Amino acid sequence: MDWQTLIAAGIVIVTLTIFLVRLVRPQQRGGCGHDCGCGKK
Amino acid sequence: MHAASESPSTIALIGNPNTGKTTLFNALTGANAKIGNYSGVTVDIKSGETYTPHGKKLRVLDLPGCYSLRAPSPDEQVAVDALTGDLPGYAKPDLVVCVLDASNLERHLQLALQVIALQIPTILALNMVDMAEKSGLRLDPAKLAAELGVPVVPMQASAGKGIIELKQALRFPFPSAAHAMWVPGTDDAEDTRRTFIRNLCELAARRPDAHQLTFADQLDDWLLHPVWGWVAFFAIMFAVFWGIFSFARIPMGWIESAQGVVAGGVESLMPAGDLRSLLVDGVLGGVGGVVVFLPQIVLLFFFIGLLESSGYMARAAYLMDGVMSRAGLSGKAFLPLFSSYACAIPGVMASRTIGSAKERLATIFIAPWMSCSARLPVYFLIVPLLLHENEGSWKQALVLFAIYTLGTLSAFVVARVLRRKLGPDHTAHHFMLELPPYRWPQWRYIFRHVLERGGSFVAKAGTIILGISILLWALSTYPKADGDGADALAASAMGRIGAVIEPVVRPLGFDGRVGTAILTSFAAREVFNSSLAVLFRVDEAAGEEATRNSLRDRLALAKWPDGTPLFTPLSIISLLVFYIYALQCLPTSVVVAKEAGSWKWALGQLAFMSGFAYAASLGVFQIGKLLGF
Repeated sequence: MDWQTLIAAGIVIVTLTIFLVRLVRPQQRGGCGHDCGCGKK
Repeated sequence: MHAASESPSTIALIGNPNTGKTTLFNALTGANAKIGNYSGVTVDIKSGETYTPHGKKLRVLDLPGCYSLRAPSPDEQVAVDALTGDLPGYAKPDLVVCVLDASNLERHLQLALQVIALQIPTILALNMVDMAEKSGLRLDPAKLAAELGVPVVPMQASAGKGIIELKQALRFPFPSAAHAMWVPGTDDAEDTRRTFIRNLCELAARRPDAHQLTFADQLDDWLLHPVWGWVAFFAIMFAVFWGIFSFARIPMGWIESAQGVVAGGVESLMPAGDLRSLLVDGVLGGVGGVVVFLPQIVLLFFFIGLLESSGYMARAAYLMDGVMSRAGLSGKAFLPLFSSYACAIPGVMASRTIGSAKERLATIFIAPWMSCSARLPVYFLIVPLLLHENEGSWKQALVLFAIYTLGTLSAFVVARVLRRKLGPDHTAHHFMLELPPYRWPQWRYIFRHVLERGGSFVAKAGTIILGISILLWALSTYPKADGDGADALAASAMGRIGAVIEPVVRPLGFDGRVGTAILTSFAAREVFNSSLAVLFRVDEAAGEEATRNSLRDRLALAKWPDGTPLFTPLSIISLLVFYIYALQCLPTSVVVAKEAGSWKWALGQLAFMSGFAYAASLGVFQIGKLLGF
């Protein structure tokens, strides 16, 4: 495996881990979860 | 000392809708909450902090606007509960600042008197005195204060005038509660209040003897006219869409050029390999496919801010009331539905202003069919495929206008059917619309709001869209196979998913790649662009030169295996129709479940809208084919 493949695979694994952690992490307080203008962030 | 004694005193801002409570809240706390020159912008309590002239910290609550303390709608009930200390998590306020529009004292004093009668220390903030004086009203705040027994502070919150005087009035100890001398303790309290207000206004807010037809009155004669009003409405909306397409072209070109320069730089610095492909095709292609539409998003919010701030939006609500009633909705549903054009989430939340539970459910159900800003990157990518920019921005603007109209009219038809199914209300609900005066747009707030929305768009592209683009790139690259770009893509996980999906989407005129992009955009619509950028990074019919072109150029060159073009006018219209109707936004479903009080509504809405989108797209493509297009 060349160095480019290794680094690219590492980036993909880190990204996937972040998504999974965010998915299983308990939600914080209500609101839309985005800066949609609803007053909650 | 008790912990409770150290907690800051609480002051609550209350008043009729559109009196400038949130503007005052922002001025007191330095916050940047959304404001607008129409009623019902605030549907929840906002909390912030401010300091008295002696440095004592105060907690400031911005309550939703209400006309009376006999609250019929959920948001007004929140305001009443907050005042009486019945709202969980909020202590009874130590002081109430009742914000009044100085031009409409006769109406707004009704609420003020009810608040004073609660025996909570009260200050009256007489807002927008500049507008009142311009209309010829002669105000006497000192007389008003003497008659009501509470401090009265004249102010113009939008210009920061009177804020220091109000803060001085907040100094400890707070003024004691006034004795409500106009409440005789009999059943005709309302008549007594009305008489008291009439007499008070004759003393302290005298109008000129002869009624003068102001410029605003003359303008309203046109803008609220049953025929010319609609002509003006359509002309304004068309001008907005034309402006978006015309003005955004130059900055879009800059973003695309910058993207090309960075991609070229990476390609010249790195040898061919997976990391280079990830950076150029995954990150730059995926994120760039969304970010390139930032100018349009910024322009849309600028125009919306302009229309809101000037007071035109309330006129549009007045015009729409007749149309809404035919759909079984009242004018109260206008603001939630209008908010949904920016984002369905605040729109669904704004439905709290609707008193009727059944009307509220119908409004929540159709809100996602108002084309939200997340759909725009998809429309801006697809519409120029249908009509090249050389054909003129006005034609593209016309298509965009038709998209918005189709979504809105379809929503009204569904609302009418749903309202019939839900049955009539047991109690009557009335809609009262206050037409605000025309005002010069508040540029500071418009630009802050535009900056906030643009920043939010870029932040989303830099986090969620970036992450999804990286994962999409991995799915379209692995497992690897020998051969050229098209064969490698067919062998990848995404290629295999596309092969499974293709039979489902082919009757709509799409291939497996477009089907996969639709599937990946179920979490958020903008991902459609990122997926297309990753999936169409190499076109089988085009050489190396084509891969450097914009995503739109690559889509225009895409072909079916038999060599016929993939994107024909009919398949593009079919795709547009799909995106008008599909509910592809997970956060919206979560908020709908919360606001409707049941996941049944959220899942039913998702199933209905997805099914309708598929059926409508299928109908368009198949009927179009039969007609020979």
